[in-house]
Amino acid sequence: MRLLLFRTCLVAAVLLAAACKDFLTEEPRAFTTTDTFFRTGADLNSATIAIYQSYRQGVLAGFVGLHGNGPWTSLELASDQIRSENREPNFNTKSSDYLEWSPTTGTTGGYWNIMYSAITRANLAIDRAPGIATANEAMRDFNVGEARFLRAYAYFWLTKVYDAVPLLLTPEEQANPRPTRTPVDEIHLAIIADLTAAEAALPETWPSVDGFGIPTQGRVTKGAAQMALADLYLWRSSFLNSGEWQQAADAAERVITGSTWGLEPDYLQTFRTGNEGNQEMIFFLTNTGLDQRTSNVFQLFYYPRDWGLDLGQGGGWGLIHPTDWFYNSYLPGDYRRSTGKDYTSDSAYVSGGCSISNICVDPLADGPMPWKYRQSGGGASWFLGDTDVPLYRFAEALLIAAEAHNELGNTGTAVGYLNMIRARARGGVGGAESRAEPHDYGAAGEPTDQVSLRDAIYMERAWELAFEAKRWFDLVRRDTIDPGYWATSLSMHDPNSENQRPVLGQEHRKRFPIPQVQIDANPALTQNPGY
Amino acid sequence: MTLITLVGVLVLTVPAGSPADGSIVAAPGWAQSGQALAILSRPQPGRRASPLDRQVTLALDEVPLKDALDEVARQAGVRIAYSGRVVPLEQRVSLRVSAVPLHVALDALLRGTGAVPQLEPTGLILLVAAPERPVRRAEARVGSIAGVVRSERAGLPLQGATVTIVGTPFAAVTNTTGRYTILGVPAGTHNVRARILGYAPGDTTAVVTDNAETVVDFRLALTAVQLQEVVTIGYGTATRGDLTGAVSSVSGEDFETEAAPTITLSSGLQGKAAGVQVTSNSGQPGGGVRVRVRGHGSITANSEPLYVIDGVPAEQGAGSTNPQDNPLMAIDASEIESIEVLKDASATAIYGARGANGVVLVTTKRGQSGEQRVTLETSYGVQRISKDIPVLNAPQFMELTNEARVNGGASPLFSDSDISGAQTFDYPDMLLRTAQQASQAITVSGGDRGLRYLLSGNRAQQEGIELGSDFERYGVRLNLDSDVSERFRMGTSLSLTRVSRNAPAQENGSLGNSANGIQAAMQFAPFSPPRDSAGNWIKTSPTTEPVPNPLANAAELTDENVSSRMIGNVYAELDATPAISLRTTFGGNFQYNRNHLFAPRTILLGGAGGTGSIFSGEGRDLYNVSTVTYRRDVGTGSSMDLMGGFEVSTFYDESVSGSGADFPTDATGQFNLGSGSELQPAGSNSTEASLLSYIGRANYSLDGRYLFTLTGRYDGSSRFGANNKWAFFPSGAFAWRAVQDGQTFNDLKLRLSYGQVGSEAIAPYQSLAQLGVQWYSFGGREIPALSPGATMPNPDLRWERQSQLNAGVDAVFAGSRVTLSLDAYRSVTEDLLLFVAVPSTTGFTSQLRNVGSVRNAGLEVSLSTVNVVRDNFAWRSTVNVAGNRNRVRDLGTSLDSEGNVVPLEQVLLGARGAGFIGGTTHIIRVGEPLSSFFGYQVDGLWQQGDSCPLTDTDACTPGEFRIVDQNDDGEITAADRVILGHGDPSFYGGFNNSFTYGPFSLDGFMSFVVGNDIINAGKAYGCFVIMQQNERACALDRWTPENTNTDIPRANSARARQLYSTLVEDGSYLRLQTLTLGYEIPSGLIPAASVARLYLTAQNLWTITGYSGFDPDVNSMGGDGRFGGIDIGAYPHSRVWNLGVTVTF
Repeated sequence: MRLLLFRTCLVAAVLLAAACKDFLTEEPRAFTTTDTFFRTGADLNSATIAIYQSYRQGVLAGFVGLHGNGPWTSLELASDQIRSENREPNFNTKSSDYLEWSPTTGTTGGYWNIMYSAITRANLAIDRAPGIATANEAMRDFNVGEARFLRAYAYFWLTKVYDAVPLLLTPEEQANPRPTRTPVDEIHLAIIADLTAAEAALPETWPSVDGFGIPTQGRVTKGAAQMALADLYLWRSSFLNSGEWQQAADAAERVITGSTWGLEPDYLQTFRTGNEGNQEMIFFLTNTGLDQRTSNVFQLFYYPRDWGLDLGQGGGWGLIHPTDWFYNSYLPGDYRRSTGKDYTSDSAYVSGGCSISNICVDPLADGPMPWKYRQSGGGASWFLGDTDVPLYRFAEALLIAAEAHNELGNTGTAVGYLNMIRARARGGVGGAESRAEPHDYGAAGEPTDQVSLRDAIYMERAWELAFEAKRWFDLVRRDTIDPGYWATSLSMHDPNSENQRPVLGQEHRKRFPIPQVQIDANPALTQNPGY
Repeated sequence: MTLITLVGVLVLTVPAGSPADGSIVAAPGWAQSGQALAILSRPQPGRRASPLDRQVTLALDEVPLKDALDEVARQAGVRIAYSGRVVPLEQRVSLRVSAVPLHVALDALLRGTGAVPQLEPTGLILLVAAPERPVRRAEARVGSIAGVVRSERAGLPLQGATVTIVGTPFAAVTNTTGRYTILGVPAGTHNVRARILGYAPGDTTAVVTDNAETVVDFRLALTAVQLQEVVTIGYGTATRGDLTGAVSSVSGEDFETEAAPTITLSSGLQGKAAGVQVTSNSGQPGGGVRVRVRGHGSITANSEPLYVIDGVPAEQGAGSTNPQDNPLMAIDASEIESIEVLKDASATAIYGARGANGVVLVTTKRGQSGEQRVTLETSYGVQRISKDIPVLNAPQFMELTNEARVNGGASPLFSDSDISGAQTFDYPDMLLRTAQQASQAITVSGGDRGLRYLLSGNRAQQEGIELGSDFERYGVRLNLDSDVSERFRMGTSLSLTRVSRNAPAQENGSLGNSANGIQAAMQFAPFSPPRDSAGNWIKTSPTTEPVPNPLANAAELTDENVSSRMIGNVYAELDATPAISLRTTFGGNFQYNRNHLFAPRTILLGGAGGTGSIFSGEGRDLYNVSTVTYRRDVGTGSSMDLMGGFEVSTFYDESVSGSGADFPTDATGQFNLGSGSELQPAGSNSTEASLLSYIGRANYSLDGRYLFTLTGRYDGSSRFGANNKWAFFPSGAFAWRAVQDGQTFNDLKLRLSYGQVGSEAIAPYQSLAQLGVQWYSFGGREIPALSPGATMPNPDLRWERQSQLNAGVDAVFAGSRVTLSLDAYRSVTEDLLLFVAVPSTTGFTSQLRNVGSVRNAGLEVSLSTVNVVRDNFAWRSTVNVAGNRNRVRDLGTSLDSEGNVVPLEQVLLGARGAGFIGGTTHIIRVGEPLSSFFGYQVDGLWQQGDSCPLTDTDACTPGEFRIVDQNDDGEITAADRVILGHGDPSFYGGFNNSFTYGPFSLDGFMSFVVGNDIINAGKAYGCFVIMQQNERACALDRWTPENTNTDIPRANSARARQLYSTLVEDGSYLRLQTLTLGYEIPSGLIPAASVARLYLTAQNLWTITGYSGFDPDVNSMGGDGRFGGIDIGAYPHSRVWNLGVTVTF
């Protein structure tokens, strides 16, 4: 084509180059442009799937997605559950552990791009869907439901970490280069509207493939919308003290009472490869382990540093260590604290060792380390993590319902939900064991007053949802109800509290700073107070 | 064109005109042979000066006299009438003269024929029989003079030199082997003079005796002044004296002597031309270089000049700093006739949208008519690292590690018995070797008027001084020129080359746990053997910060880049009328790159089952340019020269890559990727771009004194936005030849030029709204999904536009022994192509926009002198110095919190992620040059007893860096960073001295760079005494309570690595780059050889510098103008001893 034009233009050279106008028009072949997209139902489905990708991003998903180094480990390290390797030379990871984030440094800025990427793609899909002629209208409605859920979920994250952000719900609104921050309540109303619509539009369960032959395991469902609503009301009721506990309980119970979701018999198997998309995993990011496009490295944050070195894998990062307080807090014999020796162990924790080349260097002797995200393949290709990243599990529905009912004064209901979690843990391997611990709450005479039960539910969340990036938010939101809880927990539980002390009293550190690059690009954005 | 045949006399009319490329060609006659008489129509306009005074330039070899006369007529624009009865038209003549008056040329041609020119009132020149001369006395005693004329330094035979006996009509012209013979010379003592263009005349006395041949050989020195030298300019040639723009030239001989043996041509350009700064990325064989003509004209776009090889533009590629994309890598120095660097807008505007970074024109050697000549060149050399940086031995490493850990709050790692029993393994020593290099070339050239040819083949091979690295090049060149008919010429230039490099990853080591090459060796645990007891490689250093085993990589890793390139063109040229020439050239630049990588499972990179990949890319640039040249004289010494043309170019690239991992065996390497059990996606890509251009140039010379040049180019490029496809680039220049052949000044010319040029150096499709593929997975299956990319489309995207003002002086004085060129320039580049961050709320993160401005201003001086010329001894010097001041003027705007548009003041950057020193290394700040370093000022170390002004008193621990709290807020924060230095020099250049004494020659070439700074990033891993890996011997001088007078901090394993001012060092240096001793082997020693030269060259013999890294000629970030002056574990330079011989048969 181009060669033909080349010849045409040679002739034209003699005459005049007017005929060569097209010669300078670019006709890319290795990609398409937006001009030719959004015509068919398949285009819409593709655009919808791209929204999911915003959350995992990039080739080495572990570095930039939601479960990437910054967004994921910042929350983990900031909590009292986890400390960084105190010999870790990387300042950036220390900063999260010490709560030393700022608008220009640290790792707390990553959510902004991830979430607005998801919002952009969702807005585009929602905007274009009505104009798409398709024979499969049901599929189009599913796509819109997915897009609205994924947009709401993004905004929810943004308000959790940054508070008010610009609420932009159409591509036209996004074209404004200088949007201002929308009050949180207004954003939450939009989230509720999206989630309510998504709950109505999404299927209870998907058929095994969608209308275009693509597998559906991992796509969002009604249950995901219900979980997000429950989570939102829980967050609002605690952090914002909005008193919407009933709504939280209702949404969680719609998940619990439905027939789709339930607890897996074996706690650890919930996370294991080969059991993906199980009845407990309501919303998760998928990883195939096939190649780097759809695999992750986030699990390496949790692996001991010497692991993989001898396999040429660069080793685990040895980054996320349980604090001594947390590792010792489990009731004795809790299956969720089982600890193994090496990467063949099927346990909740694992101890590293001095294994490389028979030369033992002390800093590499990490452990115990979390072993919840055990990838398959015995460590053959550690950059091809194939464990899914849990975002909402059925267990969390139980814990939200328990907490909401406790706050509503329904103690018995709350304890009932809490004990479902403990009972499953007692089932141990395959759910077939009868372990003594964790015993039912109250069986040893535990008090059932609201505060004690609240303590117990929070502790249960810490054990059950450990290393799922939830604990930081628990510390922060409970601080509204029990002022001082956040700082006290950190100072009592985290060995790095010495380093945190200068900033521990600073209320504003409960929110992350708006990334300075965003303020530079859009000066209409204001910074969170205190930064 | 009518051809009227009369009887008896042949009249030729050829108005002024010469081939469009200005090259000297054999005469295209118009006449029929024999007794016929022809008169061509088209009478000449009247002239005031005698046509016999018009200048002609001839290079004739054994051509029929008729053709010679035709050529003379054509050049001088006169009619010459002659009769075959008077003039022996078929007699063969040879003549090589430059810009001599017509009558001199005619005299020389007609010598011995008995014919003399006679000017008729009509302007016709009639060749008539000379009046009878007195018959030579029979008793006259005669002998002959014969000999060889050679160049002074290389001893190359000079073809076409005129040897005259002063004061007599006796003369001869040398043949292809430089040989001449003058017969019938009266006996006696004569003054003999040899002259040839570009060389100083040689004079000597000879005693001629009866019936004997007196041998008189000449060795001519290149003259300091070469005003008549023909230089290549864009789409044509010009004599240096007529140039109005700033053009630097480097002759092929400069490469053969001063820089021999230059394995890669680009590095051989270093220090050779004023205003052309060549910086090595590293010392790796075949490593990259950064070439900057008059500073960085861009910020993010490619600032590499446009390379034009025999008229074929060969772009390095947008933003590519990969040396395999540099077309100069594919050329052997032996192929070079000359290199011209076009510097000011007057010279570069003819390249319009691609001229902003200067243009490097490479002209290769071509065949000359005459007998066949065969030249063989071969050289062999050895290389050693030029500087050692010692590292800690095992006990030292262990002791310091313990000390650092205790100071850093950790427990000691090594027991006393570990330390006392430790055996040291010297990794740098094990990695380095004495490496060999060799090159061979053979060139065959010759031909006649019908077809002239040059065929050459060459090979260069260089081992790296680090194990595993090497460079190799094969090349074949075929240049043909044919005079198909008297008015039609055709020719071709064709070169095929293959360049391969092994272990390119060693070039810029990187640091820390991604270090490789020498840097990895310097970081590897010195107590650990490279292999375990079972003989397997230890994959990583057993240190806190693990580093891959460099010995294992060197031995096991396949990492080969191969680039095959074909550059060629075919031209056809037609003299439509005597004044008008049409020329069209089809050219192509075909490049095929292939990279092979295979890491077996025995090394770290190989993982559990080995990894491998193959990348294969093909580039195909096609172009056609057609020009019309019109040239005529318009009065007394005045001439006009017009050129107009149309050019069309297409650029096509495609690539495919495949990779695999976890193979059943290492044995099949990268050649059976499909056997890998780990699925790896294949990749492919394709891009196209096109450029349409109209070009035009007008030269007008008034009286030969006032020279005017107007140039314009109208370019349309596909790369730019729909709203800005076309742009016009004009320039104008004026030169005044104030003095010609004067007393004080032999020649003096003043030049002034102004113009605009552009840069389109961005990748295609940047203005489009691209949809990207986003991979997600459901149910274990990978799903490609489409979504808009992160870059906001910009339909207004356009060129970077540079305006440049240049003023220059060219002076020749002291009896033509001194040439001085001085240029001052100021250029401003506006509409810089920059990625600008846009709010993520728009759905995009950045947009490529035309914002910002950079200024470059500078001075360039070149001075050539002939210091001493005596009988047997000559000393010549050349020196060039250039200084450039770069300033960022504007970075575009941003909005302040009130929404006002305010200028953006600065942009912070980290070189290569800068994880190795914790973030920012460079800054772009308005008012400062590019390549400015940004970090913490360190004012010594904290000492015991110092009072601590900081809130964090731990920071004042004695032995820690005393970081200057610039804002006095009691905390060391990011706000305390300041500019610590600049990567670009105040001035730089080269200084060459050549001595010849008899058959011996000595060339010493020095290069220097003054006033630049270098971030010695490797020191952050060598002299910070953090001891997470092995460090350099400087760590021994760390601060201790007993050793307080030092700038090395105390050992501390918890110290953060950041850009402290202690890492910034003065990068100035003066280097004896090459020293070459040459010896002209006496003729006869090698049978049949006409010339033979033996030489011994030492490269990088001696350097004065304060830089503590391996070498101050370093630039780890390659061509990126934002990140100059940083050394990130670069491959060290070597010292080379090379022995070579060149023989011509």
